Amino acid sequence: MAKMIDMLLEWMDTAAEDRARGIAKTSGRRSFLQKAGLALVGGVVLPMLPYDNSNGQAFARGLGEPDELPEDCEYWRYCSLHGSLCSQCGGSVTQCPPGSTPSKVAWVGTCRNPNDDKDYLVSYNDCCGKGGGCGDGCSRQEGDRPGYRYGLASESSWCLANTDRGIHCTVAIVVGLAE
Amino acid sequence: MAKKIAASFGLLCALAGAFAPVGVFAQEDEFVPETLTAKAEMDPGPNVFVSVQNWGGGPSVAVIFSADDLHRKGSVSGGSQSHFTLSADGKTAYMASGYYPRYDSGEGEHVLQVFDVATNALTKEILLPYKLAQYTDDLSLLQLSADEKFAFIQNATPATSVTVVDLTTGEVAQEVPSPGCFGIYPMRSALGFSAICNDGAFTTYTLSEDGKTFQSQKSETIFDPDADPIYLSADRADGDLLFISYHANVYRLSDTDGVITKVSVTPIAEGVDGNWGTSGYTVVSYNDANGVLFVPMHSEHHDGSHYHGSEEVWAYDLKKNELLYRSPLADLVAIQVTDGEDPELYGFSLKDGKVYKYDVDPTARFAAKKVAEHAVEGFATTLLVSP
Repeated sequence: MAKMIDMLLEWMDTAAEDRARGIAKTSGRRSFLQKAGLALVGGVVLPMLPYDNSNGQAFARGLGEPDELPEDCEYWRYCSLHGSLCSQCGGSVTQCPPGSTPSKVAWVGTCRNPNDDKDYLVSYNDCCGKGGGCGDGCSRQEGDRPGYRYGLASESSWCLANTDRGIHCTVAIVVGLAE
Repeated sequence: MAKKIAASFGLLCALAGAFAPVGVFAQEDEFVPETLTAKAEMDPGPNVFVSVQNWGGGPSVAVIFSADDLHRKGSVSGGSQSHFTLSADGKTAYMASGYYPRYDSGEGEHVLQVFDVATNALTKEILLPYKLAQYTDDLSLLQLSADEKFAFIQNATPATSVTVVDLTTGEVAQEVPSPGCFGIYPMRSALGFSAICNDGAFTTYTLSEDGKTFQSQKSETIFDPDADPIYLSADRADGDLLFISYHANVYRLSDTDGVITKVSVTPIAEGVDGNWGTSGYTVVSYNDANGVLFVPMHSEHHDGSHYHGSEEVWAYDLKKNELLYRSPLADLVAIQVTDGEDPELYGFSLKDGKVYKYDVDPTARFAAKKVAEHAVEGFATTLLVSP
């Protein structure tokens, strides 16, 4: 039992550390100073809990998901995300907040859906034309590559092809099954 | 009521005059008002530049610290999402950035600005094509030609190209299309640059003397972007280019023949327990005098952890292929080491919001020990050290 508790505590430390790292790292695409304070509180007081989607809620959207999609960074479709979560900014996982415009271009990640154990292509679009930071920072960046593979480059602004280039937050759209 | 207040005020003044220390009036003749001035130049000496990149539409800043003790000496500032570089002598600074009058909406401008480092003064502005890469700052996104007569600036719309600026005329010489390639690594022996491409090859672009035309040549495959992706970060070692992969394999490349060729690949974490990988953004820095490479590293690295802060900085002898020392320097995302016999190491921590200086001891296998630090507000992933 003691060993289990040690393991749990170790896991919580790691999760908190990862969260702090994530928030610091994403600041380039968001407001650094605003989030630096949250990192301290969020990292220590609110370590991330494991996402459990086996809660019996109704499946939706053909992905075996609950009606109410989770808002934490560990959600499966955020596997390559690097930005702020629009679901916490007045939008949703797939909707930009009012007054912002979806980016015309996006980077893509390949994420494993734990509901059906299949890999899906996820399009990460920034929501553009609005300033000010919002939402939790989330920097998982799995599959990220530098700009020589631009379609996988999460370190770019993806509002770069929009007229209105302010970056507000990022959404994650499942666009297909990965081959 | 107003009369009462005025009367009271007058009485107070009279009392203050009557009881004021005699000495105050005695010194009145000697009083000389202070004069408002602007300091003409920074204090002399070597500098460290931390390039703080603003992603909110506002000004980016290259903050200048003394390389001796990290006290703040000055700064130069430009627009949003900046990229930054220096002349080899450290006397001229270059910043490419975006100016957006409405910050988050509407049209903007992309500009290359040139600064005199000593006075921090803006000396030249050159309007660029509205295509500047809005990308986390990396030293490979703004570079100078070997003769420092041209600047090369990375574009992404997201189609990639490079703007060539003639620094003598102050005009854009041409835009070199570089589809599928990214990063700028100037040649030393000719006018031109190489770029990393999406299939693991490099393309080298050789320019005409006036910078207005180019020829390109693609290399053989150098690395596997799926299995062993390399960072944009690079440094020179005895004329060769050094890159490193997420998995801490050092790629030593030559560009002397007008095309990139592979010299060697060195896995610096091979045989070390803990599943170590490279961590950070500016992750390759080579000390010329001793042939020692410095790399920020973290253990149990995994897909997505490549930009995490360091747990250690490794000193690796590239001549003997030997890991010399693992200094426990936490949370660094950018490092630079000087090139002399007794090197100094500088690092920036995003988590701490600080720049650090470390003495490196060649007699102790290049162990690094912190000797100075200074706070830096904002987001930075690059730093430079000048003579």
